[in-house]
Amino acid sequence: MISEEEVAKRMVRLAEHALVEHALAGPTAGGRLVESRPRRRPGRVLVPLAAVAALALVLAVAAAHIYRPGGSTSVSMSSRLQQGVFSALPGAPIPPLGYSASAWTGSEWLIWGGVDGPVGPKETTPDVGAAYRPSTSTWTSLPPAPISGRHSAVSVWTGSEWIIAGGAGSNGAALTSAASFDPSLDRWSVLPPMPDAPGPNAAAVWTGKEMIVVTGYSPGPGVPTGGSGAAEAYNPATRRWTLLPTPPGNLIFGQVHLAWSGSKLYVLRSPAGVYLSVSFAANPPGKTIGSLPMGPIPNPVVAVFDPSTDTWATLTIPTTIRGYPVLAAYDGRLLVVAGPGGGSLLQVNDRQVLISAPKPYRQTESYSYDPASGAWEPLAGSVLTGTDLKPGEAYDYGGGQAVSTGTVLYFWSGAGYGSAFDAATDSWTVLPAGLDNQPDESVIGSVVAWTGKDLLAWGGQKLDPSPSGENPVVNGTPFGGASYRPEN
Amino acid sequence: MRDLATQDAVLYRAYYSELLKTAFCLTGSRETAEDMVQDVFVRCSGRLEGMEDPAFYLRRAVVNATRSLFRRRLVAQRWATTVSAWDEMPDELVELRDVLMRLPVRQRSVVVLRYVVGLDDDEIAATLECSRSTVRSSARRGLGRLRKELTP
Repeated sequence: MISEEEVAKRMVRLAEHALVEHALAGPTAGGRLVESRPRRRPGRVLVPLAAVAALALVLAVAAAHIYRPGGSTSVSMSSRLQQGVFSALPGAPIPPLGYSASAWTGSEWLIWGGVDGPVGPKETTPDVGAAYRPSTSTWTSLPPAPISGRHSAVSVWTGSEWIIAGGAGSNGAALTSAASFDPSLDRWSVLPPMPDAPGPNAAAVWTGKEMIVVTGYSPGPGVPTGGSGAAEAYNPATRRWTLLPTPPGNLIFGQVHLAWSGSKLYVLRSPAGVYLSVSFAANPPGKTIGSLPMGPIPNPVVAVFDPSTDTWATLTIPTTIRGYPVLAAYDGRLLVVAGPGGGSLLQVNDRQVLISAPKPYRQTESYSYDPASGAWEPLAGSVLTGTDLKPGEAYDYGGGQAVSTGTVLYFWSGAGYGSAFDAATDSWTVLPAGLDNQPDESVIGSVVAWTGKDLLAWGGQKLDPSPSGENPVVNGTPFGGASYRPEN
Repeated sequence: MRDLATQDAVLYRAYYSELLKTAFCLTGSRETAEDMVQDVFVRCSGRLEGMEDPAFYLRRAVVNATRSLFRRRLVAQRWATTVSAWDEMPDELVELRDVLMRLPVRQRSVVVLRYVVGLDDDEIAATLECSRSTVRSSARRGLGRLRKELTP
């Protein structure tokens, strides 16, 4: 690595280049100040025509390389993302918690529940909630809920009410109770219990008519039970839960990955057998965080559910999942980000798996699926690119950390670095570093939302490098929250 | 009547180069830097007479102008259309400028004020209106990223 002295020397040399043209054209003549803008300096006129022609050629070649039919230029999107602005959120009326439930209503960000501190015997799951209104930058408290506090509950916003179900209590037990919250009335209602406890790794989508929950799988000593891999649906009109046919394929350990295309539900599954890392059992969650060589899963499958017929179909992905995957739907396409090739995964609690990102392990395999043509296409680039990561840092791809705006898929936890995938150009951009005063550590278990203008993140727990410098540790410090707004 | 033109011209001659270098390293664009420094002098015209350290206020004005500029998101467009056009810098300096532009404004300001202007941490803290510890942490992060990204 180059020395501080070398950086300083280059900085001085770079600064001297500010004066090159100045020396040719001179500062404003006689030291007189020019007050009008825009203005042209005399030096500009003296630039040889050949240079102008060369500039035009360079710009034309550059434009030819960056133009993408049907989309904006990658340069403009990349610039917008890199010039985005981070801001701290004002203090919430509730303590920052991890693995809370959250929903964006169109005007407010609702947050409820969560776990206080790293998962373990001293954890608490208080019944507290708050609503953040970005238009006024203000928080308000929610009334007490009619169900017990919990973390990792599934929730959806229906357009008029917020449905919360399942999750895990402070004793680790998987819960089936459910409730809904109507922000216009500031009132909670109790809902019927779920037929199958979804466990802490479940995920849910709102179809416009039903909430569909696909339960996860949480084996191992000390891990909350619950989650059989089943699918279940709740219809607010009938106030009834229904067990759906079991998805094809087999369970993948860890967080369930769902994508909703507007008409079909996609679930990532394993082609054969429950995938479980043997070494996981030797790493009790919330304590020692060991390297978890989890993978590969060759030819993973995607189970496709059609709610109009209550039937499942199966797609095979032409890749090998080596890391923790992400699934998202865009513009009628399905996007699979298969994680860093060969990267080690770190199990830190019952729900989250982290990708460590030492230098050789930054590349990902990403594919998109077009239902119209039935074709998979590899995507260029990688989630974690270049030199933004330090050895030992961890990046969280679980739960709510991947947020879609409809055109851009963000990976951000509120601190450290983030990435964004622009579906219009199929390109990745590493976001600039976050708040100046925030530590660079990653945050796990935060909730993230897209408001239409801003990316919001709140809660979760910071990660610190371990003394060995290899694996991060959860220090339990809560994260107060931040927002990121890409350039307009 | 004070001879403002004369007073300002003295300051202009004394500090123009330093401010231009600072602004160039903060914005990555020579043209933007020249506009910025010009505007700073115009805005400060007549206000610096008798000040013990006019350079302090001029530097602060440049840093604040950089913040405003990046808030208005104008740099990307100017940068894209001007820097490549007129600069003939060695590759390693182009790389340095690119990495600098990816740093948050505060980290960038700290490393520029430290290594280009030569200010100590207390002076940087006063210029940026932040604490000394913030300067140190920003310098550590900014320098760390520069060293890392500039290493082949």
